[in-house]
Amino acid sequence: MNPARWAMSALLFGAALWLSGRPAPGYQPRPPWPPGLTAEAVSLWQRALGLTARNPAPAILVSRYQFEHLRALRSWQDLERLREYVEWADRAESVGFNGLEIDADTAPGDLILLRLPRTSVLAGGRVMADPAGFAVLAAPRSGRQRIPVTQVVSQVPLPTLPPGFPIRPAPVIRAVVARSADIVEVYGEGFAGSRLRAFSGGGQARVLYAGPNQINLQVENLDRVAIEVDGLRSDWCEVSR
Amino acid sequence: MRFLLPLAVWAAFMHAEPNPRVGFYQWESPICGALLPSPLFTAPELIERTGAGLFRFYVGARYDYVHPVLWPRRFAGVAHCTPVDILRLAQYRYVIEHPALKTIVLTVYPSRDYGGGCDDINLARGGIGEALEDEYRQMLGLSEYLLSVYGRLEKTVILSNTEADNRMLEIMRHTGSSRLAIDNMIAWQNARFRAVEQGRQRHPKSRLKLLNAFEIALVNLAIEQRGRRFVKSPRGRWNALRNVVPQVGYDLLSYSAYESTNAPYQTGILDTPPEQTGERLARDLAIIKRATSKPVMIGELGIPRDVFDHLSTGGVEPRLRSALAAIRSFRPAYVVFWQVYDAPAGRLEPAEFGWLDPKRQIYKSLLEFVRSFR
Repeated sequence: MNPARWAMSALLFGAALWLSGRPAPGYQPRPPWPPGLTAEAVSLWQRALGLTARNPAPAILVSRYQFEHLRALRSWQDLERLREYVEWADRAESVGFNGLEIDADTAPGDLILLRLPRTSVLAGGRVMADPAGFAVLAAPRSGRQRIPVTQVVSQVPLPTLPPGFPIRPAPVIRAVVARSADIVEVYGEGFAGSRLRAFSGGGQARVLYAGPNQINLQVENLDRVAIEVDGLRSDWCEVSR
Repeated sequence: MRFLLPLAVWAAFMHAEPNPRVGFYQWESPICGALLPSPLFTAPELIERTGAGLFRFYVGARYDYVHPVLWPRRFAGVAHCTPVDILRLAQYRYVIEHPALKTIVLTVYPSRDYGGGCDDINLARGGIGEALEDEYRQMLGLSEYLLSVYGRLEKTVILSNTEADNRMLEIMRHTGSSRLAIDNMIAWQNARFRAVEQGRQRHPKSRLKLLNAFEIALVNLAIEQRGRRFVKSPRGRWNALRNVVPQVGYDLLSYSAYESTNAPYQTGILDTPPEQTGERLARDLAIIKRATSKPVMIGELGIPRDVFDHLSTGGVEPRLRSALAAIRSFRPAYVVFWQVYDAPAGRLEPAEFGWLDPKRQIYKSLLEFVRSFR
């Protein structure tokens, strides 16, 4: 081998080594959520996506009852609905999954959460998508069974949320305390925003004071209250007296 | 003087003997990558050092005190993960046979395989007859194993569940049915108690005393259905004390006392005067006592440092002192402490709450209580 060819081979070999080497120190894979989320939102997403789940298994036995009542997320920081999702998804009970079939002992109230994108799963039974985009299977019958699963290539990311999905927090009411016959204090989170509206059972309520975690309202009835911030509305919360 | 000498000898003896009515809970398995010895090998000496003679730990399929919780390779080489299979492992035998531990509380869960390997028996479904047969058979096997293999030991072993209310809440959330949760909990506990009774009948000469405890967590709070969700609430309808305890058999009623020690149940506000901790505990123990004719034990009493130590009203120690005073006046059969003598709060540590830590200093008031509570 002449020196030029030897030098060229060495250069190519070195380049290949460099390219196949470990990532540079400090390299971190990009998390699947946008920057700027609160620590609690990140923690919930880590559990929701199975990164820090109670059970790291790929197939989890989950509740059909809770699944039927899960609500679509409205923002990356829709904490109330995200907590409901995590309460449903982050379960300890697992079933078997070897990449080709599920081995599960199920009851009528169970579903199987497969931690794969819904778009990448074909299976004999009914396959649905959960609010994060994971596949959810209804077993064809109760009892111990094997359910064939085919995985196909999918470019859909997890969580499966639309581009430009809002990041701003959805308002969450923790407590509503009556201070007089028509004044209530509303405590919670996600109350900061440019367009704030408040509702009581009797209709729209008058905002007397607005802070990031507390809003005082004048209401017609001391029954229940909801807060809307920049178009995202909280759940109704009953007034404590 | 003649009377004082035996009294002094008796007092010295009492102080030298580990206290069989007081002890600690080791709940945690090592966290991922901790590279620590099994806490079942290290905890007994730490407990003995305090003067306590009681140890509580988990015996079930979810972790083995060697690997992290639900680690895929836990119990490698163990065929079925029944409680007897588990107790045959070295780390568990070490605890049972440890001479300083006169009382062992096993938080015990028989197992079944639902496809993902061994797991606790699933009560969140209807028609659990077959699962209850497994529960009975494995609990009977455990009772017989303890009474025969360890029948010559002068120890007390208490077989308990953990916090029936939380299990009921899980079942309600999973199924949407409060009735199913209550019925399954009643059938499950009765299967467990029947197995322990059967075991005792078969081994009447055993010196080992085997008891069954039923543990509850809610006294004033109960579970309420709000729309489609089930939550704990002061206005709730269902809890184990009201709906399960009157319909089940047990030897001891165990109370996991967080509802009393954490915060007033009406407000949930943590930052309250520390002396109210004991007042709440005394009030709730009295309610429990009225609900049963059986002895009451405190299965868990914990005041987490990461929650309470930064509060303006004072940290763990004044709350603990207040709780200890209530316990002295109520005199429960056994007291198990958790989160007052264990690992640090930070999640970067190799161990978490529930891990008895050699570096942790025990509170003086707790030490004094352990050595004097008889």
